[in-house]
Amino acid sequence: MHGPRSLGAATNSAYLAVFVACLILATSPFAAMDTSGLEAVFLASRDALLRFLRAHGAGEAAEDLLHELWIRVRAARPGPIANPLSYLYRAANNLIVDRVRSERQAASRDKAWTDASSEPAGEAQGERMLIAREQVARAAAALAELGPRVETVFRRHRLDGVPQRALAEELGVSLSTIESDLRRAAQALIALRRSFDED
Amino acid sequence: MTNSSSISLDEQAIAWLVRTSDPQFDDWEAFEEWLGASPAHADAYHAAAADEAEMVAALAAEPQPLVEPVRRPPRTRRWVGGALAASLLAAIGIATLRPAADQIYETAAGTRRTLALADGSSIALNGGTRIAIEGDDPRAVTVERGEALFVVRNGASDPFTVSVGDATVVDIGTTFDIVRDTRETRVAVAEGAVMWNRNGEAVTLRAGRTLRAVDGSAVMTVSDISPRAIGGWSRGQLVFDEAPLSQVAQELSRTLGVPVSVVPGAEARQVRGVVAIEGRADAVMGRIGPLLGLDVEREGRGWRLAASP
Repeated sequence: MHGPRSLGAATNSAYLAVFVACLILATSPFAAMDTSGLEAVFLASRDALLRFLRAHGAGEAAEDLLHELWIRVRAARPGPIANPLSYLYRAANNLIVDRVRSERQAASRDKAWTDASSEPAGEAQGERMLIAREQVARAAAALAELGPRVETVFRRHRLDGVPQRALAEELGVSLSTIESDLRRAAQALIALRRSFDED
Repeated sequence: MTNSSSISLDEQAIAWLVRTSDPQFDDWEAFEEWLGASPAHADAYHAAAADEAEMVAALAAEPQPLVEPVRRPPRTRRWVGGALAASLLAAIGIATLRPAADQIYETAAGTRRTLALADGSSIALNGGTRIAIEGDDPRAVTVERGEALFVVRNGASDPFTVSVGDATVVDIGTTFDIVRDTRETRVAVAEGAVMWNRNGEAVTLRAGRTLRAVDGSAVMTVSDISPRAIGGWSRGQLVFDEAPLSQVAQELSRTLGVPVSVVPGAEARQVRGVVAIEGRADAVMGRIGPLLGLDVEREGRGWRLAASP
């Protein structure tokens, strides 16, 4: 019967360690308690987060991305978090998507730079801004075409950050209706974005 | 995803995109399982997420017109017109369903814009700036990043407040400029006075004074500034009065929308002068050398400033 006893002892000393840590944090005016709590979850979930990054296809870069993830989370200095593990997964997911976006932007900048190197920089920039404005107008129009509810749901969710469940209650529709509205809006915007590349 | 074989990969990716974009989504294990099932899954998700995020960023940058911009480059009117019509449609659709939302105004790097508020106040936005005007109170503004010059019509019973970082600036009948750079805030007062509030501490800042503070740090510095040098960009010029080169580079970069750096070691060197900012960035940068007594060199797509020998 050594097992349960030593487990109990270990649990007690773990509680003590947490208690002491909280005491230190609570008495230190500059300590970021939220970040420290998050760091503990981060350290405990390292392997799971690495697996997630690898499922995204990060391969050998997974360790570096994990490091970058922690730097990002620490810099964001989030307030109290209800579900720290989910927060870390989300941050990892955003990191990957941001990576994809910045690689694309770098590629299109290089292309624009090669295309535009013979013309004055200012004019090329002005031209690109005009194109961007036209694309924004077309995005807004594509969204409006889906009808006022789909547009409202998409803007409230993606621009104002309202959770899907709250939107369902606010509009008096089911969660699956909200999801299907969001899928339609995303589909239309993605198709439009892809058509810009073909122009 | 159940029954994943009967719907296309793009549709599966979009379904996961919708689920993962919900701030309350927490079934990351199921998502990981789908992602890891094939490299094509991750690729389809990345492509959908990046495309959608770019469109969301574009839509977020498009302001909804409650206040009418005072001036607008005529070349772009055609497109703005289309966008206004589209967002007006959106506003009609949304107005019936929700209370007034914040109005977001954003400028691209190197562009400027002036907003006229209903009460006669105005806000000029320098390049790379994003502000939010509260839907229910147009005299409550948040500066998220960049630089804005406020010319506020007095209203003793209804103070004009600007939130920036972890502080609030309350106006007392004034022209003042706010620069927001990552976590740093600078406030400069050209006329009248403002009150700077943070965590219950208040500082009154009068004309000709400027304050610099960093979020989360109790330290703030207050110093003198020539009122002429404040918000010059909104009148088509940058006025430098004993300004360190590091600040000159920042202001040029924000106003012209091109990267401008300083040769290491010369950041603290002070310059005086007035630079007209009309015209293309390369023309403006060409004028700056002789005006401010600097060597201006090309550096990649931007410029680098050095003190003339």
